[in-house]
Amino acid sequence: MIEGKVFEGKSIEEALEIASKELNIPLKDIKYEIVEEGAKGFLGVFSKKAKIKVILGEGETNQVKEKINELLENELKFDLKENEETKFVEEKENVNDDEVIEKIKDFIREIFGFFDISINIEVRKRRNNSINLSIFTKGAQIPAKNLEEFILALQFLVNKLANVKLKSGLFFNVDINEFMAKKIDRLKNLAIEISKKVRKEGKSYTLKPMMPQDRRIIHLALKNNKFVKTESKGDGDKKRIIISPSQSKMR
Amino acid sequence: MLKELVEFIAKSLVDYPEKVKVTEIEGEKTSVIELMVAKEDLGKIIGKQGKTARALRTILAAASNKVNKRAVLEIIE
Repeated sequence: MIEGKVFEGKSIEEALEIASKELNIPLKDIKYEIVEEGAKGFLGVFSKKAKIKVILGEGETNQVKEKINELLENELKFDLKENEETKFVEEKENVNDDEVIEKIKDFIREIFGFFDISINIEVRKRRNNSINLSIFTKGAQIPAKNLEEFILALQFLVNKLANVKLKSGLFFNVDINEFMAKKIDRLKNLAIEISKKVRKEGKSYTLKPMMPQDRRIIHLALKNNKFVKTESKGDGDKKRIIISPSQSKMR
Repeated sequence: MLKELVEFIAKSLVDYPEKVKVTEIEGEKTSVIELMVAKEDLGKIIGKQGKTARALRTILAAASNKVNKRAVLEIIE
């Protein structure tokens, strides 16, 4: 064996086909050894790719050898580039996360300052770079006609600052006096109540039109419920959710 | 106070805060607040589908409620 290039596929056959295409060698002429058999896995969860190593014998043309060298080189370059980038991002995030959170807290405090409202901010870091900011006002109420609209506007500006200006890659969920948390609870309870009705009566229920973020809560709340399914119907931002008995139940 | 609020938020979001200029034309019941930013920042302050401008107006509306006024935000090119 002089040189080897590893090809991957869902199966040995697929890996061979890819190799044949890339190297321009007819399928039957490829000499190879199996690096990994590959496995189908369970529901695609533990699946493993099949790997073969193409072996070049004396008989191969220089053209094929060149092609393989080229591919190997590209692979190396790609690995290097990827590592560099990951490292860069990690460093950036480590340095900036807490700094960004402090800047965002100052930004929010300053805005509430214009309202003469003093606040406490609770910070909770969650997975996927998302951060919960729970704002608690001391005494005074926010003079907004629609508190939810105000919270979403503040959240929008906060995320604009965190991402367009500070380029942090963090997403902030903003809440004031647990208004959003309570709303989410209400929606979850509604979803559960209606799903029980649907299951009992065997007929569909249509909810009132809701914004995407509210519908998401209902879809998620019933995602693992075997007895009902949810779908959105309608046009534009405000669609209605229909909760109906799932097919398996009906048959 | 309304003017300063708009100025603070605008300056926080743009690349050229020194070029942010806000003027307030105070009426008896309504204030018109004019916001000027650097040409390069105009897109940032308006946002996709005017979302940033809308958020800014929502915050401004709440602040003007507090002082029993109505405020209109104009973004000037």
